[in-house]
Amino acid sequence: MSTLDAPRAQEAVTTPGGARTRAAGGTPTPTRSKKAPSRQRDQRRSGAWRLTLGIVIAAVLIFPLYWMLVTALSTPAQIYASDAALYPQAFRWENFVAPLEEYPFLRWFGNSLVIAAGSVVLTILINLAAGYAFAKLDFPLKNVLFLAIISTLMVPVQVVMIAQFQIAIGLDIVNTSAGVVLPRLAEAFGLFLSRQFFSSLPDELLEAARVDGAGAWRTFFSIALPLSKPLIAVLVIFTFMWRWNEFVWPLIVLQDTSQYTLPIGLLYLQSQFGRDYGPLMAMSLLSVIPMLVVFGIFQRFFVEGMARSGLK
Amino acid sequence: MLGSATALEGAPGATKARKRHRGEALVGLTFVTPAVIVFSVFMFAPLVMTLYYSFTRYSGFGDAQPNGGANYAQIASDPLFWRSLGNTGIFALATVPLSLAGGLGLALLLNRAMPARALLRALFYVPVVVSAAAAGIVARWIFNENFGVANRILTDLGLPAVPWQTSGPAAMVSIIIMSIWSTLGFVMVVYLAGLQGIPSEVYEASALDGASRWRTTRSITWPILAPTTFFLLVYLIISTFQVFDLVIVMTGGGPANATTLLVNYAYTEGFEQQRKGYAAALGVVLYVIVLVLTLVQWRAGKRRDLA
Amino acid sequence: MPTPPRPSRRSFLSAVGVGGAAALTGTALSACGGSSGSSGGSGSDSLTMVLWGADAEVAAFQKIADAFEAEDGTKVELQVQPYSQVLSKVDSLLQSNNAPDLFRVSYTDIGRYTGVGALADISSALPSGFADSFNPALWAAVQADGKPVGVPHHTDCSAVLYHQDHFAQAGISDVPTTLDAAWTWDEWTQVLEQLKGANLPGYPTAVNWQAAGAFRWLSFLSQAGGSTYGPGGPTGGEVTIDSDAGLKAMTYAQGLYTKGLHDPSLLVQAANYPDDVFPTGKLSTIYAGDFLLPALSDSVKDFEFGATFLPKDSAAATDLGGNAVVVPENAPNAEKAAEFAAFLASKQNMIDFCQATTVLPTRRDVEADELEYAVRPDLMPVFVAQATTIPEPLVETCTSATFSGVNQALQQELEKCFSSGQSPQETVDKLAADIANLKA
Repeated sequence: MSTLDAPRAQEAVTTPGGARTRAAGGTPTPTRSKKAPSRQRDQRRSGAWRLTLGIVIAAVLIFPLYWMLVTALSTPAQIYASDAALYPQAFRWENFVAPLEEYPFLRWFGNSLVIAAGSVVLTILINLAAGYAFAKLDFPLKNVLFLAIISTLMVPVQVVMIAQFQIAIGLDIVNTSAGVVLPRLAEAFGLFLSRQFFSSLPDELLEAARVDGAGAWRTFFSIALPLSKPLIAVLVIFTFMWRWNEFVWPLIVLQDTSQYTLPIGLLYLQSQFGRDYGPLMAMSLLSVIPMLVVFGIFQRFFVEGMARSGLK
Repeated sequence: MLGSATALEGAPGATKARKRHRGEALVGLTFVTPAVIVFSVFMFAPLVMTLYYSFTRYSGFGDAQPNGGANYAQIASDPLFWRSLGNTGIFALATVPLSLAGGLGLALLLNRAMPARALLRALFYVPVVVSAAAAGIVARWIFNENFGVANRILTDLGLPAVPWQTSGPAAMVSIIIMSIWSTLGFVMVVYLAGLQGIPSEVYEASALDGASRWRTTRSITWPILAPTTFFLLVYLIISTFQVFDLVIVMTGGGPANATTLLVNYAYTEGFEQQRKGYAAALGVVLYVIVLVLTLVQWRAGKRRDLA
Repeated sequence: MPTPPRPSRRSFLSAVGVGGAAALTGTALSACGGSSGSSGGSGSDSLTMVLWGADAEVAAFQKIADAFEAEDGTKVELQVQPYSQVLSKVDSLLQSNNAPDLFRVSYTDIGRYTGVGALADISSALPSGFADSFNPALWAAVQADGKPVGVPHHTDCSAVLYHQDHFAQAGISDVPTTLDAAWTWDEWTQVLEQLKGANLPGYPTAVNWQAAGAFRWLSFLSQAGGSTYGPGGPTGGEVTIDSDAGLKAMTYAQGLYTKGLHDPSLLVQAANYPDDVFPTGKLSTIYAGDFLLPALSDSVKDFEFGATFLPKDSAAATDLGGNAVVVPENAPNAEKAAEFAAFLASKQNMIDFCQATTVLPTRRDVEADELEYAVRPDLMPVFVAQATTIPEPLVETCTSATFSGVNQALQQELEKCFSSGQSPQETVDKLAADIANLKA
């Protein structure tokens, strides 16, 4: 969609929007020349104003994580004191250490990692291949298959969870990581993005390779694949984040606590700790940190990859 | 995005040699086979099975007993279904526009050179990577009626404490707040990309014409961003209909079902109350609703394409 | 947990024709799915048991499991689940042929499983005359089609726990110490009003009817002289929950909220529990089961608490608490599981378990009032005496196959009555209609 819509967006500039603006601004304002010299000062002032606003908003948005940290470091008495400070008053490491000893948190972490990584690899393989075929190759039933798949784009997993559970039983993958990964591969979003991406590659580029005698296979591997790094980046980011944070399907399909993923593990801890918010917040924080670190390192890719998926 | 289903054609050049054509068909089929298998087993078959189960009484034990349209008849007169449908509608109507507006606001804020822009952009985005489970756990604590920091701050500011856990509307508001919190950053980033695609000459021309900032935003930026907005609308509606974890962790659907969403209700019926047939019927209803929304959006998108 | 060979594929799968394709994808792709490791063994020399429990309960189970391993050589692995999730997990395990060998289930939920034939007949593993040692009503609760499917492991009931300092500050000194002297509803309202007027932190009381505890309202119904069903019980009797007594009990319960006597945040659906709040000193009294005493004596640090009887109206009554341990139909090792169930309910093990976890025995040859309870033995006589007021019809109702549905209806309607002002009359009418529908 990105490239498909780009030209359309451009048109919008020049036709309806542009025309309207030009008409609106038809009468030149006499103050225009007076304004020009003071614009720099205006900009500086507005920059300061926007910075302040930005900092306030950031503070509000980060507050829940900050509060998670404060609570994680507090004693139960401090947590329930009605006049407790808004900053950490103690550093109670037991909140972190004790649950780690008592619950298989690291195991959950490992399960989440295996599931997220496995999903990423399979999702990319399946979607790149299918996306390319739907965009650039001709084969029987192409449009029917594509329409059938794309029609499920907006189907929430909750629609089919009852039946998917029965199928997972039939395949004997209940209570396994494979049971979490496989059913969720049937998600049309990545396939849709892939097809859009490959559609945007100029046909001439692929034709050139064919004229050189390369078959469809080689064209894919030597021309299309090397060009699809941005697509792969987007798929990696989306898939990893979604599977890492996934909730309802793992809740249904995983049974042993040792098989849990982090979000399901957190729900388990919530019922174990009840009102003992210190250790609960400590574990929530630990579950969030890996994604925060990954985000910190790949921040640019996250932001730009997301942006690219959402089309310019 | 669905609007571009028109891009389905793109038929290959008709001059291809027949032999190459056959080879290509083979490769094409090979390439789509994994996707077709995965979708057949885990999407198409479950959809058919869901439809079948929806006409049965099925506890999960033994076999499903066909019971005609009894489940649907019951849904029609099930107050809890209507309640959860209404809740889902209110939730979506509040979350989607507010996320769009807020995200656009943040994007406009960061769209011009300013100090610490990259840092702010990163900070605004952080909530997106936090799992709803973790967010829900901390939100439950923040919005705790008696000990939570939200009410403490409100009373410190001289405002009345809000009964986040005992008043239905207040509980719904707390869930809407957390849902917006977790999507703002994503909306912002997508809008930022859209904004950066606007050539600066457009703004310069508009500035020369003396248009006010608000006017520029309304009559230039907003129309140019229409495709982006459309994409976000689809994306947000999909994700709104799937919100489940926040509710489970924060309110459990209470008080008095005020925060029970359709998907929560389906889960409870199917996996806690042993009423899988009924839950499947709820799934079918949910599917029809999503399908109608999709078609409406598709038509809207098509109209936009034609404009 | 390794899966035993599946006896038969679900008929529908093959009907749709996905069976083959599904199996194909499964084998083709599952290799990539990562660890499908398992924690439990279920060979002939080990058993798995799914349960929930407070620390003291889990420890007591573990002790018995260790003793069984020492005696028999069979290891019993305990899989602890949160109470809020245990039912859906057990369902999921049974349906996916990953059944444990045993699981713990409350009397009020047994009907979910006996009704669908999901439990195994263990009579062949029980010594002759085994049944005669148990309280007949509770033994009846673990029968399916006249065959035992498990053992009644223990019982418990609710009474009132109170904050002693709050009582002192409110000038309440005359606390009932015998069942006969228990406060009446009116006296209880006065006590709560007195607490409310004493300017204490928090609220005067909270009842333990959250989530699956909604059925505890039925003890209010019994106290008012009503019952869920008329003569003939759950199977043959008329639904009588909307009788005058039902209306009276509902009006009284709602009044606790509307008069500001009950903590408004502790409703039915909200997953907050009175025993979580009590230790913070923000509740003067709570309705609580004896099984909570070990956890409460740990968490209550800043004050002393006592126990007294549930208030009575035309009769004294409390709820049927407690749990059985049952063997599922598709248990990998049902024979050995049955032996362990019998071992759990042996005289000495029952004595040990009850003493350690402050719950009441189900065996007739164990006297509840002679046990040496590990925690707060001073309070246990209240619960032991209160337990004699569990009404017989209530036991029958609570262990019936449709009770799960009754309990769900109670959760829905009580919540509306307490939080959004649904009138008591409308509430009991809807309850009666819902419960009558269950039988249909």
